[in-house]
Amino acid sequence: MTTAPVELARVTASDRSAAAPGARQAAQWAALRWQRYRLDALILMAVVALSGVVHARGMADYPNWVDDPGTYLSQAWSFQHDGALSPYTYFYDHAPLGWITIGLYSMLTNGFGRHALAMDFGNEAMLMAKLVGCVLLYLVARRLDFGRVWATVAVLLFALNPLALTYSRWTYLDNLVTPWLLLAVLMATGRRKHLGAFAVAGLAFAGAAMTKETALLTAPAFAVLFWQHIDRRTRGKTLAVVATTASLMLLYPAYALLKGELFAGPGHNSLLGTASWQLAHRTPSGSILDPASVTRDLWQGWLTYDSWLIWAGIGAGIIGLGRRRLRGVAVLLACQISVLFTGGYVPFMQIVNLLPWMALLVAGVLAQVLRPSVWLRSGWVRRIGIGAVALVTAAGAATALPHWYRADVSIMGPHTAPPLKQATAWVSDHVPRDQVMVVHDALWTELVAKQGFTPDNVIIVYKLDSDPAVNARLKRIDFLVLPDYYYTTPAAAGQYPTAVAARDRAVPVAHFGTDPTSAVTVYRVSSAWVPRPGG
Amino acid sequence: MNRPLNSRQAWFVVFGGLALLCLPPVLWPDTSILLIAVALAAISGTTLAFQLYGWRTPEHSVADGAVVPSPATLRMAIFLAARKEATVLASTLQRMVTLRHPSYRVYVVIDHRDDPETLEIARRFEAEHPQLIRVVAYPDVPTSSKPIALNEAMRQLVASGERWDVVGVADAEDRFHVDLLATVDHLCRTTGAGIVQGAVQLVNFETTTSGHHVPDGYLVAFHRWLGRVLGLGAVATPPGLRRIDRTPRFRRWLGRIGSGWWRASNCLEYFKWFTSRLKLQAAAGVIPLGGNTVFFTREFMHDLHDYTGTWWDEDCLTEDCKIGIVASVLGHRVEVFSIPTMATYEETPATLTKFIRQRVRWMQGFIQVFFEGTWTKLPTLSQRLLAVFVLGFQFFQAFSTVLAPVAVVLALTHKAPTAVALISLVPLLVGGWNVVIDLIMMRDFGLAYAPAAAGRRRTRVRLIDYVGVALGTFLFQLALAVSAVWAVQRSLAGITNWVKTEHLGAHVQLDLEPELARPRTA
Repeated sequence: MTTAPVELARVTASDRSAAAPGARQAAQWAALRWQRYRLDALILMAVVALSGVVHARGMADYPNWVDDPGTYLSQAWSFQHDGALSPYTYFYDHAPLGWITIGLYSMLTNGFGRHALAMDFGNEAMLMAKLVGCVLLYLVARRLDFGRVWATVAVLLFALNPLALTYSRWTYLDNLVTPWLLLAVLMATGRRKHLGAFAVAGLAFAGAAMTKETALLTAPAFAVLFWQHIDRRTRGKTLAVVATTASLMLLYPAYALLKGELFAGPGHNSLLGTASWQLAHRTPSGSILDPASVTRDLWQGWLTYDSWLIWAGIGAGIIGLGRRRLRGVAVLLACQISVLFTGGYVPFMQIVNLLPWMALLVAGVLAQVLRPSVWLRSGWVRRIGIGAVALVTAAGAATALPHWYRADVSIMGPHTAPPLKQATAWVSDHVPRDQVMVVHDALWTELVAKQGFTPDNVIIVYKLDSDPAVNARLKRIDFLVLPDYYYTTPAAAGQYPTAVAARDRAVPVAHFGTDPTSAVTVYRVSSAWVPRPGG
Repeated sequence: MNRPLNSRQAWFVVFGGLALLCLPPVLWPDTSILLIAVALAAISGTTLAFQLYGWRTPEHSVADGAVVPSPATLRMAIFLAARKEATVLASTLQRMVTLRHPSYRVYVVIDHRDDPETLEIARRFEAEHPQLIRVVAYPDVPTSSKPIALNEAMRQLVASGERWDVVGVADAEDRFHVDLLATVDHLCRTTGAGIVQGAVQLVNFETTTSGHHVPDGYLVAFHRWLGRVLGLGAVATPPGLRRIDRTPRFRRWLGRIGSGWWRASNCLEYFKWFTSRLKLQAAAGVIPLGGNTVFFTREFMHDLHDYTGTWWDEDCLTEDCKIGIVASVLGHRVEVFSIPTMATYEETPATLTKFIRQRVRWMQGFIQVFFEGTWTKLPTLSQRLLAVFVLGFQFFQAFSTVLAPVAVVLALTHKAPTAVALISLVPLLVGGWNVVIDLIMMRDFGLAYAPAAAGRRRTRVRLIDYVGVALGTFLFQLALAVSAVWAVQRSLAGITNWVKTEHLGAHVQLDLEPELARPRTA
């Protein structure tokens, strides 16, 4: 055998092991990534820490307890303890992934067990969602070519504005949708256009839709994002991969189908029945353009917390529609805003779905306009324009920031406990465990999960007349624990006839709070009164 | 498996094992369905990932086409084992003497003892091109097999003292692209790989060229058969039937319906295998090689011989698969390149039965490689796990497709908990989208190989081929599942005949010459 005159590329043993990435390669890779991203990581840690502190301080007593968080926590608790989707008959009010997530988080961390109050655990879950949202928001901002400064601004606008701070503390499904949507945007805009990233984008979109079905409204925005970011060379496969993972959301209707509850029919709940009620028959809130509408009231309510980010966000959204890099996010915001104009039912917390994108767009538009390189390349007319934008921004910031600071300090500062929280403490101290109580949603999980009442004896007020199973079971009512306005709203007699009838034969035994919108009275119902099914 | 069972005992064991496997679902239905569903979901997800790997980013999807070979400097030796290949060898050797590479020689190994026709062709070429072709006599052993032929060629090459840097393997019907050797030469020098695997592609996804026709035509034969079955005796054939039978269009249509479903799936399988799966496995360092268009550097051949004492394992049904695993154990990288114009074209097996036999042989080979246990010496745990997965993949995949609907039906009929039923739907969902991806790939396959088939209207992928792929997916996997069961039975019984897949030359009949001879433009 002769020796080869041409030396083959000799492979050393260490080179060969590159075929199998070992621990050393992983460490090298990590070191390289750290070198490249350490500044971002440090900024992110600081921003997240600040956001976390502002969010967490005082979240136990502010904002006031409302009904939806109680409902979702009761369903999360039911998932953890009974493997059910609701302590009552699940009626497809929302897709269940949101409270399944909370339930799983509790299972992994003993969430309901760790806290004195179930609501505190809900608050903690929202804090986690907020922090994850902040991280994702920063990454999305960087992905859309924001500099580190503007990415930080985007996160701070989202984390520190008093409106978002208030609403993101409530245990709402929408607060869990935000991280899913941010993840979907992040993965759909990857620079390498990796199929795996698109697969995750589809999965995240499915996650959002299965957390709250209203996320489906953002589909046009993802159409724009995919159109912009999918490469022609791999278009078919990418779309198929997105469709594959996104179609996992079909498990929700499949669940209904398996239960025989997909289509409306007599004697059972159904997904489509509830959906058609939600879409067509629910009391419409009216269009925001109608000054007398409920939607306008909601809007005015949101503006009392903070108007700066909302108006700036709308302005940035309009500009963003014209900027290629921001268009997808701007369309996403437009989708979420469009709900206010349809005239249909607008949820109280719809603003939650607007704020992260507004924060992103405001920072994004400023990042594109206020850039030294743009300033240097521009003629005088544009420089004046840029100067004007800078001035308006500075003036806006100078006005808004002190307001935000005062509002945030007040939100973080000490508050008296919400009346429903006080009522919870009173009930657990004074009411024997065998008593039948009709309670506000927020109390159910507290009393059942934390205070040892049996689920059958604690009835959420709106189930009393809407759930046939509850109604059939009802033999007596001993206590009513409800905010006063439940009896006084014009619709009360129609909505809660049994509770209103019971109160007429009851005596108040405890009263909490002074504000008529939140004050709670505990009533002892006469033992002589017997509820009539159906009120 | 010390003492092989007889055939009947082996079937008994196989069906007994399958029956035993049915026991858990009967005893613990919910748990079993859950486990099956989770396993199926994992397999269908992995299948998806494996076959999309080659397209994971737009850059990767076009990377191979961007290779521009630098001037060739290596000495190439091509081994070509031929046995009873008189029909195709001449055209193969004609191509072999026109390859564009400065320094190569083809060693044709022919079992001359009972094959004078093939030998005669090879001798003719050797006389005409003494620098390029050399005939190697088959050793005097009772059996005739490809590994023995290749080893003999290797022995004689080493003994001759001639210079060589790379050896490649070709089959008798393989017509290499004229620039293939230059590309391999370039990759050997620039990537540091010990093995370079080029793409092999089945191209006759339609059946018109396979040459199997009933002499009278299908309709006439069917009419006769019907008459016999109904007891009508000899019935005169209506002339209309014969006329329809003879139209090429009808024959084409019938052929596509009759066997297009598995041929298209088979071609597609090769396309996905060489464009995507092999690349993932090369990157992970666990790779079963193909049987031809594969090239080994001298350094690797030395290491291989040091490690196994031979080159090609003469007792293994899939010696190429084994070499791939040994390469990973020895730490040699494998470079896979898939350029449609440079692929080696092959044909699908002539009939479905022959296809199943081929698969049985491969799976038996994989079982053999698995039990030999070379893979247990792979350096990392993840590689060993991947090796199990790769060797078992054919079994897993076939059964996952066949079992997916069964799991759903089980879950629904047994009133399994809703969560379990939901999970059992996931593999079906992923499988459904996998069919869509198959259709997209079929289009890619058509586009990639359309230039090669330029001017041949018939080789275009048509609607009926897409329909075949979509509807044939399940049946194709069913055929694989049947092969898997059969392979297990034959392994248990120790039966190892059916060594060779017969070649009819369908791909050679394709008029590919003008395009293949055209130099690749960078």
